[in-house]
Amino acid sequence: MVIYALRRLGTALAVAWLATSAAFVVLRVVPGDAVDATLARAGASEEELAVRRAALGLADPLWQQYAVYVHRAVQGDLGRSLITGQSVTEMIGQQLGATVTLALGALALGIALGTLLGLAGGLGPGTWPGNLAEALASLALSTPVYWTATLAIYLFTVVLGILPGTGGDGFRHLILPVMVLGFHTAGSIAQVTARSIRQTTAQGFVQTARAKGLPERLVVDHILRVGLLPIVAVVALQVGFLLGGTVITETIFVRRGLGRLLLTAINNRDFPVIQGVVTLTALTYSLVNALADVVYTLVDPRVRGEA
Amino acid sequence: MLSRAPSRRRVPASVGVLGGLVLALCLVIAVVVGFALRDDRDSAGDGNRIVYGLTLNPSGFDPHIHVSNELGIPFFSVYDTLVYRHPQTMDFVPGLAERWEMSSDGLNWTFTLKRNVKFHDGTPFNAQAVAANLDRITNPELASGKARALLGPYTGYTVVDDYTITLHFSEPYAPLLDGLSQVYLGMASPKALQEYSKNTYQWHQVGTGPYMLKEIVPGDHIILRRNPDYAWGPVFYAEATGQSVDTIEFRFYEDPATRSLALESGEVQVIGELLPTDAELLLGNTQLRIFRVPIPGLPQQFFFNLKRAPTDDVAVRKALLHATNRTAIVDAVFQGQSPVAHGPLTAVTPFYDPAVETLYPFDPAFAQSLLQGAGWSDSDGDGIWDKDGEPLRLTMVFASWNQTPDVAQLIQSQWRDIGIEVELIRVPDFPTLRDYAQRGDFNLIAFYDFGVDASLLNRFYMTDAPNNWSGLSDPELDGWLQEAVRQVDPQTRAALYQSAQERIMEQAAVLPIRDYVNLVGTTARLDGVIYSAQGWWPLLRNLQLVR
Repeated sequence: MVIYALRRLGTALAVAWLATSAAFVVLRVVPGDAVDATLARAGASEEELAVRRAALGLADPLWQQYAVYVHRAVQGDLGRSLITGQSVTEMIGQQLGATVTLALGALALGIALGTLLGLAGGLGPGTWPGNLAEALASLALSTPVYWTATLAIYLFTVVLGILPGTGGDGFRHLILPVMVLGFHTAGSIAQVTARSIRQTTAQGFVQTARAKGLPERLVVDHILRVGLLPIVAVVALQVGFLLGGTVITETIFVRRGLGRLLLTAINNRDFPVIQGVVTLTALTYSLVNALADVVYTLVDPRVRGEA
Repeated sequence: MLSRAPSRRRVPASVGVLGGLVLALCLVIAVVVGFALRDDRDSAGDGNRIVYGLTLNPSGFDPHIHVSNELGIPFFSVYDTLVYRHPQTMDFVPGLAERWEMSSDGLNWTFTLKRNVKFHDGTPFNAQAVAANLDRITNPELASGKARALLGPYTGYTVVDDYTITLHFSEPYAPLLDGLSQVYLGMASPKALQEYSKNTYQWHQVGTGPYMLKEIVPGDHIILRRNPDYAWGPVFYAEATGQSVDTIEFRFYEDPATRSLALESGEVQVIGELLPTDAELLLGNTQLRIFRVPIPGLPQQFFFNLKRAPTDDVAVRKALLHATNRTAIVDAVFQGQSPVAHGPLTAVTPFYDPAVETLYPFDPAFAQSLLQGAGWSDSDGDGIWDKDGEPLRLTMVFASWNQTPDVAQLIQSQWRDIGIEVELIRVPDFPTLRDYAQRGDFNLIAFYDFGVDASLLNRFYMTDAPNNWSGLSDPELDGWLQEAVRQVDPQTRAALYQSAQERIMEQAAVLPIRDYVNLVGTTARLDGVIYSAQGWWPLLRNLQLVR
């Protein structure tokens, strides 16, 4: 078990390293750098741009830039912003709390709402709660976050005036973004849960249980034990959706956070900042998924032997 | 393992799951209710307080280093500049300098400074302070993006006495006062500059202006507090009253659709760059006011590529200008809230030449006759002009800001009507746009910038200019533009810029669309909403919040 966990951890680190390297390469393939985004726009001459590039190390050969980056990153130094000169670790530190709060809130709501909708849809297909649950799950999956977000601000802030919509980092300001992002997180969780429960229901052991006259309450109990297991995996996958969703949510609700930090950095081609956020995101995502795998083996005795 | 199984089965899974769910939902509800009842920091009033919505999140805030227009919205009021432009007359009026004088050869400018001016940290303002600022801005280590360029051919200074300083230049430089009136050359406290490094000063800025920087939380907000000692403002600054705004919080509304919602719900009291459609709707709301703030500089426009067929032919470019119904574009995309642009400068820019207004009226028939005259015909009868077997097909490149995609689509359909095909290429950001420009991979490309002094044209139309994306090369035009920077006499400059604007339009190097207008929405309780000569920067000093 410990060996399995360690192996998963190793894979997670490798994935993070690959993601960072991919970001490193892609950033240098797309046109433009931080000097283009700022100085060139202000009308500086080619010579001035060249001087600035050299000073920032952007004129060094690519392998050298990469070697310096990896060397520093291993020591925990993610470099400095090419625009503000601020340390990337410090910049991430300033924004991390806001994003984690939003993501965790949305995840909690997403799991609760998603499981509830999934249970209703899976256990009662054709009944009105089942249909309603399916419809809500489809809505969550098929509408974009910015649409729901704008609608939510209009309804709760402009028309009803009961919740603050944009700006502010107080807890009241967290409610709407968490509701919107949580609703969309619930979509996949609900669908996977419903499908898994329907599949489980169709399985032999459930038919056997029903055939031998087990009370329906206990049959449902059997179904849930097996049918709810995939939630662990889908929740881990939803962390990926959340990391993307926070970018849009933060922008629309005018919240601080990593998503907006990343967006600004991309527009300015602020390579160290983008790489820092990508590394952190990739690390989080692969660690959560490694953790999910480990949890899965713990809760599902069938997988335990294989691990 | 088997022995553990029975103990687990004691509680049915459904009870566990549902119990967990109910618990989680209760928790969410409890948190929501708990915090809903809690008073937010935001609703706690501390004097007269407003929230000002900024429209982008500047990457850096130090005016000496960074280049964005947006940073001036808060910091134009944190700093004073040596001179100001009067917002109504555009004339130069005293700022921290009470008078100035240029030597007869134009190489030395002597500034006599106001006395009894203090920085927010108590440091006295004097000639040494100006010197410290000039030292900082011209230090290559600082890598100034704009401030240094505004000083032009500056070579150094001489401190004559405590309140007199002379700036030296290698050649006469007419745009100096314009540069000195911008926030990028705002005067910072020498003590603060010494105390913080070039990277950290931006979080601790200290000026002499009517507002003091209290707090910057990157990506979240900036808070300014009124400077109670301020008594040295330019003539157009109002006196402080009981209704002056004590605290201003700036937040970043990057999503255009959210801006009007924030204004309607009272979360911001001022916000700029409203969508034209939203501004139109808000006009009916008596709780709000909409201001149309014209911005001097270049209009929203497309440069023609003079080095790539078919726009290398001036007849084609002229035909395209005549084929564009700009009034229809302004009405449809900008709800008629911006003036139609006719030349390389907007109408509110000093030295603007109204003669350009009659050059290219919308006249599709004439456009077609121009094409015919240039050897184009529809030989294959497909409804598209062609010449030597090549159809009249153009590539138009633009970024998604300022409703340019909508403008481009309208142009596409207008030109389609007279047999010209346009391929639209939408790029995500400025570096990508610049990449297209450098590769010359376009016939039309959307790019412009803002500024009061007409020398802005030099950056875009001189043969060797870094932003000469059209590839225009006209030695006579280069000569006029260069001379206009050296000539300090306004009448001489006006004549040179008149020639320059007419030449640029005769060459049809640019397709102007509309004069840029910032659509600002405010609560109706706010008085004194006035913007600086540069257009973007509010005079925070003049704001009055009527209770």
